[in-house]
Amino acid sequence: MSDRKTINVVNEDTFEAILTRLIDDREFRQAFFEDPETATEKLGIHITPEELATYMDVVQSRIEGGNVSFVEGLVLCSSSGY
Amino acid sequence: MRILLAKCPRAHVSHFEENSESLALGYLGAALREHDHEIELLDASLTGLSLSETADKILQGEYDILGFTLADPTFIESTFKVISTLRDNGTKSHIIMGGHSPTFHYREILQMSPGLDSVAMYEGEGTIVELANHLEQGKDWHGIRGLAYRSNNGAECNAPRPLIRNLDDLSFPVRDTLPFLMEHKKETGVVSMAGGRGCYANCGFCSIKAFCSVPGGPSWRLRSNQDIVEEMEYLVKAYGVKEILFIDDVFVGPGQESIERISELADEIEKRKLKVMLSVSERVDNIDEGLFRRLREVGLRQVLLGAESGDQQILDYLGKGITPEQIRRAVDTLQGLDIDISLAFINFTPITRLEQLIENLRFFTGLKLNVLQGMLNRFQIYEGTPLAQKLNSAGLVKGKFPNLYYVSADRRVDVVYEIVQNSFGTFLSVAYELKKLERLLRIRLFEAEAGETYAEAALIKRERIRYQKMMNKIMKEAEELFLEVVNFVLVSGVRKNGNIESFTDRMMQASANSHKEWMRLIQFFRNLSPVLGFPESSRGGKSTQQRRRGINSVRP
Repeated sequence: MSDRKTINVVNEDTFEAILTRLIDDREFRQAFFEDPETATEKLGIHITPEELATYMDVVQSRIEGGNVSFVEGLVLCSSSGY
Repeated sequence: MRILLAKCPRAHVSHFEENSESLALGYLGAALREHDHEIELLDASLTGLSLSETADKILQGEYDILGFTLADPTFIESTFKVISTLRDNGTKSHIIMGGHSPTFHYREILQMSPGLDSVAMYEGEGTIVELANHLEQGKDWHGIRGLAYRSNNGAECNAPRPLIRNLDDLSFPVRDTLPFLMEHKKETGVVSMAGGRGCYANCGFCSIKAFCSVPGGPSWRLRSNQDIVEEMEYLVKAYGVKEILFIDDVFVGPGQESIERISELADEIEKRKLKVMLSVSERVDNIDEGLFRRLREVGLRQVLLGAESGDQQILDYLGKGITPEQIRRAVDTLQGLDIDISLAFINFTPITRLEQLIENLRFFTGLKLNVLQGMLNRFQIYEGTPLAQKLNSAGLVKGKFPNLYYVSADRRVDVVYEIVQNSFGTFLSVAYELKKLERLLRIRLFEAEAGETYAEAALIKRERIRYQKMMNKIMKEAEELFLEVVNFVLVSGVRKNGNIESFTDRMMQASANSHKEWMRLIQFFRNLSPVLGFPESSRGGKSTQQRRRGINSVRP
């Protein structure tokens, strides 16, 4: 029994584009940590608020010690852990 | 005899986190146990005890001898405080101290720490065993070779004890603190070993030659391959160790003979099927591509290179006997073999001119490595070193032990140092965070490759590329900040005034901002990564295979 679920957040290329921009562009980096949705919009990356919210939730969850992982463009969430 | 061997915490908070056991305590402990003495190890530096907690812990026990090791001068103040607290609380034990600084400064050490009874000079195993035996038998210990002690003249020093001729005769160091390391230092802890003692080279800033030559040498001794691999196997089998750091200043050494010796060591590691990740230190002129390819096959994943400077004049001053071109070649060779490089260099030396500082910075940042720590490194005066003697005879050494200092030939360089020292502190912790990240990726990749889980290895390699990009960007930013300081000093000169203070404040703020942003991003990456978590399983629990199954089982 597992309540693990897989959520398609963003495709891999989009994800990589965001990460690359986070490294290279200081302004984007600052804006992203303030307001990720607006920052990615300005970047021209189409990412739904829901996708972004899930994405940020996952990050937040891991920061708080939740057991979730990101694998090849997919976020794997599990409250029971694996 | 009941003996406590201890290492105190540093007096000041440092970005540098203690991440390995004290082999000095381990070897001394082994020698004493071999002679049936009852020993305990207290590595307060590793376990994170405060000064008062360290003293309290010692006061809880009853010991005949208390032995303190001084790994470097940054431990002096704290060790003296602990000894003073112990004496104030009625400790009657014989208190002895050892290490490089006590050896070369026994007179000052005995004077500064009235609670101390003796100093073990040079190699300590034979000396501490003989001291314990003498005290046990109620004999006078003052004539023991290798000891210094307080006298009416201030201090007396006996003849040095000859060095241990055959290192294979030594018992393996006791590993009493290893379980703590493996349990509590999962992210940073590394198990260390020594393949030999001393060094054959003539670096002007290093005291190891004097440390070995005064007792009669030789300056470089090696354990046999058989003995080294025996200890490796013991660590793997008894403790489940998966990573070993060789602390030798040079692991391979010069010439064909060294290549053959280390090739045979690699063969022995392979023969015994030891799956253990290795880190070593080496001179850039000993990086032989064929040998290091072979070493990579048997687990080598990181090399610390002693580069010291990218400027030939400074390299010559430091007595390195290498060229900037050899540094580049060694870095290229190791990068080509996919071996991580940690680069040690001394950015500030007594002869460095401001223009050389700029060139040196460009040289090192051009190597695309994490060199932030080196940017802030300043030449330290250690007694017994050729350069300390040179500076002393020129009357350039100021202050008193342990606070010796010098004034640079180009005063502007000292001003740059003061500003970066005061302002780059927070940025430096980014470099340490990067080192942790690099290490985690190295461990994960090694485990994936050893377990032949190629999908996971590919995933980790992709994360390493991302790490590399981020590290390059951070180094570029550090370089720009550093150059801003240099340019400021170029324009404003060396006069101390309010401009320097306000500029330093501005640099502190810039450094703090950079620190905040990069730490946030590093944390962000780590939290997204499927391979960078450090679960309980990291050492001996869930295997890479199991983790991979965990990932694959939910892959659509």
